Amino acid sequence: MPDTLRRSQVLEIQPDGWEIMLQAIEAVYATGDFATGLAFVDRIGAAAEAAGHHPDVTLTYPRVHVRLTSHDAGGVTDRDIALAGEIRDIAADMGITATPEQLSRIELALDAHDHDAAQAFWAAVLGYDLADQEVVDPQGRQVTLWFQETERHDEPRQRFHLDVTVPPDQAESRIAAALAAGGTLVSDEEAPAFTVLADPEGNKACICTSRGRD
Amino acid sequence: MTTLKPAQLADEGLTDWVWLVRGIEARYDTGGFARGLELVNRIGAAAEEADHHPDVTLTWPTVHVRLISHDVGAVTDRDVAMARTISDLARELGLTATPEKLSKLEWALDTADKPAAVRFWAAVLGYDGDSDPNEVTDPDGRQVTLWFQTSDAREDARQRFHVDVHVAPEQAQARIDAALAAGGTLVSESASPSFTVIADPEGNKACVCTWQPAAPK
Repeated sequence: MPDTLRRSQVLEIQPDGWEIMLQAIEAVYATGDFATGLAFVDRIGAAAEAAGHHPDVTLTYPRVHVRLTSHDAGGVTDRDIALAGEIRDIAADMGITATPEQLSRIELALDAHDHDAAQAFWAAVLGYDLADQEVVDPQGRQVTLWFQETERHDEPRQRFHLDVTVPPDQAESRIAAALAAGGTLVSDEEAPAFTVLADPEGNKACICTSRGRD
Repeated sequence: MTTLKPAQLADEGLTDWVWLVRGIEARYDTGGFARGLELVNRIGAAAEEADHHPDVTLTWPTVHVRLISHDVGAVTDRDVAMARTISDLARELGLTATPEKLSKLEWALDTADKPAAVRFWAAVLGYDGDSDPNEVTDPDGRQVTLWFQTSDAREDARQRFHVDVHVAPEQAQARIDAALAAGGTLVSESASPSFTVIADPEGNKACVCTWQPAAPK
């Protein structure tokens, strides 16, 4: 397994247009239209196949977003830098511009007294994987939730909550998994539109479906 | 052009597809990048021909597709037609849809002043705050939506959830400035540029983060 690079090393060698975003490097390119984006993705794909190293790529009408990390090493390695360089060259060849000012990555954080209990519940309710101090989307597409140590305290009035929309036939098993992981049922009055659950410390999540709405 | 409701979608027999919030989504296990890329290519060709374009995410073992008619902000017959085409393309490649693995996470904030909340959170997240008075959304549809629920005004609650917004170091100041101009207040820059804590008009906190360590005191 290749070694992960330190941030200072990445900085020295990362190609123009690429930025460090947590344990990955990311770039976003303004392609202007879908056909150009598709041709760009195609060439990125060919380079990835040749390198045997694969980015996560999101193609939308005006932009292509690329994220590179070495999943096996848990961070950025030489392989990521090399492929990022190739992607930069492909973009330059196609006259496509990187727009690093559009890059930002959002994470949610939750203060928890009992990390293990919080992790178990939130992995179950979100359908996520357990990772170090956090729960993550197995596809890497959706927002990460991490846990911050806090002292024991009275339950506060909560302003933020999370909504998890699932296919209607999956709601029951998702709710069961969350309850088995230490959650409690707060209200199923509005089910199947939404069912309110709470984690062991009282933080709320709703399991939502497209049923029971007009 | 006809817009659809979730119940009508069920009549279309699109078993690969799930209605998630405003759009419809499908997810295919591809077993490898090359087959995923082939699917993306075929989807792309079909999208160009129909002049209707999905948001597509390609990872090593999966392809994820989201369809919505952006011009009307709803699912329409164009999306249904494209969904059917994409399902056919996936079937031709022998790929399996995994609707049971689809779920969409949204995040909600209680507020007594929705317009103020929209203004601040659009600025700090770099999101679109102009399209809907009730939410702010990632212009690329990639990152989590934040929506606002009306509540009465109350004293500051002890907060357990907060959000971290990671940006490139050279973008941090502009992002912080935009958030302050949109009604935010600076809570702490003692750990800047690693993270700078700002609060929205009702005291809810966000950190603008970079990979750089905190400046030595």
